[in-house]
Amino acid sequence: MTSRDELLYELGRTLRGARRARQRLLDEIAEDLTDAIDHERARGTAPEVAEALVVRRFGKPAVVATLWNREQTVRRRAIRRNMLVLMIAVATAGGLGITQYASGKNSLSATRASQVIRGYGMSLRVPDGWSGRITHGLVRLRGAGLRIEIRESSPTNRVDPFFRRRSVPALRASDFRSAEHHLGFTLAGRRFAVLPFPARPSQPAIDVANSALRSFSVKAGRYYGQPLAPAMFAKRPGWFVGARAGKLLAEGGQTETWAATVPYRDAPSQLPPHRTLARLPRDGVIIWVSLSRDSALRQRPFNSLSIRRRLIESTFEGLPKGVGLYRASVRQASYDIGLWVFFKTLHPRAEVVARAQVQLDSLRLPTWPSG
Amino acid sequence: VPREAFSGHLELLLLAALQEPRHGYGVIEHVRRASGGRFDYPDGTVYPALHRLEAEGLLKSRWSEVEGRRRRVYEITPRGKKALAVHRREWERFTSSVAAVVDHA
Repeated sequence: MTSRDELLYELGRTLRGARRARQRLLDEIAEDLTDAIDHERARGTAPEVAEALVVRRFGKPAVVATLWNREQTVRRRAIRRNMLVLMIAVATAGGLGITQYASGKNSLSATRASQVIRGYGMSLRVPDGWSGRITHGLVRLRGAGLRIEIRESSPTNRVDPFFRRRSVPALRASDFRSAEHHLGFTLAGRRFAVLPFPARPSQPAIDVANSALRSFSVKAGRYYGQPLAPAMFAKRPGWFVGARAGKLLAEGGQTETWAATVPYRDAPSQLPPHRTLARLPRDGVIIWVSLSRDSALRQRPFNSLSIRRRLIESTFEGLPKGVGLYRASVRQASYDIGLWVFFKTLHPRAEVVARAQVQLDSLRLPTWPSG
Repeated sequence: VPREAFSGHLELLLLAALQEPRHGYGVIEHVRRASGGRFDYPDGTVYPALHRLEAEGLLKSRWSEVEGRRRRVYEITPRGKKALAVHRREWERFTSSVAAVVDHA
């Protein structure tokens, strides 16, 4: 693991607060560190020195995490305080019998819409001054301090009451309170969920957002399902290798690839691979790799594809006693690589780790469709 | 310059640096260059401050892609410009007051 990866891992471990906010901070810092290292190298600094310099200038992850965590605590308290004030206000208004909203009309008109975005059989009118984008299975809309996403889900034969609504839901201020809140609906036989990200929106901003959501239209059809090739290990003596291909669905897709020093006995997505682990000798190794793409989120990168003995641990839930595990998540342009290397012991010999590394280095990565 | 000397002024520095859109590392580099490298603070401390200013509505940010690389680009909002003007006035009053005392001594 490089010092940059170590920094990001340590930072990711110590940050508190909403998952999305933490992820955004980590993504941002990861990109900026790469930028800074490239910048240093362009100045003529040797690669390893450039990285060390940038990591040193960044400072201790614990210091950054402390500052960040303090801000999150302050923000959380402010939200709680505002909710309390709101509840008191609502209770008071109710007590006074105020019925100003009885007419059901919006008091403020929405901003003029200016641009229509299209893609994957979807279209949406983006209000003036807002930004919007349609990518694979995802509509992003942002403006007036609000962030809204429409995520598509693959259709199934199962009846799901979550998607019962047959029109795009209108948002209210209360819909912006929780990062977990989302509202399902079905249009043209396709399933969607609206995700209003936490904010304290004004009524005019909500009206504009709703005008954009009302403009969301969908065509029936097949826009997904492209085949995804898995990564492949080289076939070497002493290794049993395999892989399962995948499909790119609206939500994304995943493939799995494995190499083990004993015949592989588990389903491709079974983690930990208990049955194979049970047959693994003391110096045995199982390498499991996923390539995955989530239409809306990227995995947080940590560690690297170079196995570090000191990062082999046994803390993963469900891991059989004594088994050592090295994990990493690495980003490629169109997918995230998830690496799991299982050793029969928590402290495998250097030769065993080196043998695993040689097999891991034989991994051939495919190209996936962009979008 | 030791960090205690400007700990209360990071907001002013960031708002001033973001009068044109920049990403986090761009802000850090701008402040470093403009100050002749005299401010001694860890680069990482800038990010929580940027996020706080954004949460307060003084900055806005978006992902931007340049040559296949993503960057979180920040820019100052109208509210941020007002806050910057207030900070700038306070800073000028402070420096002129200190100068007056030092010169008088």
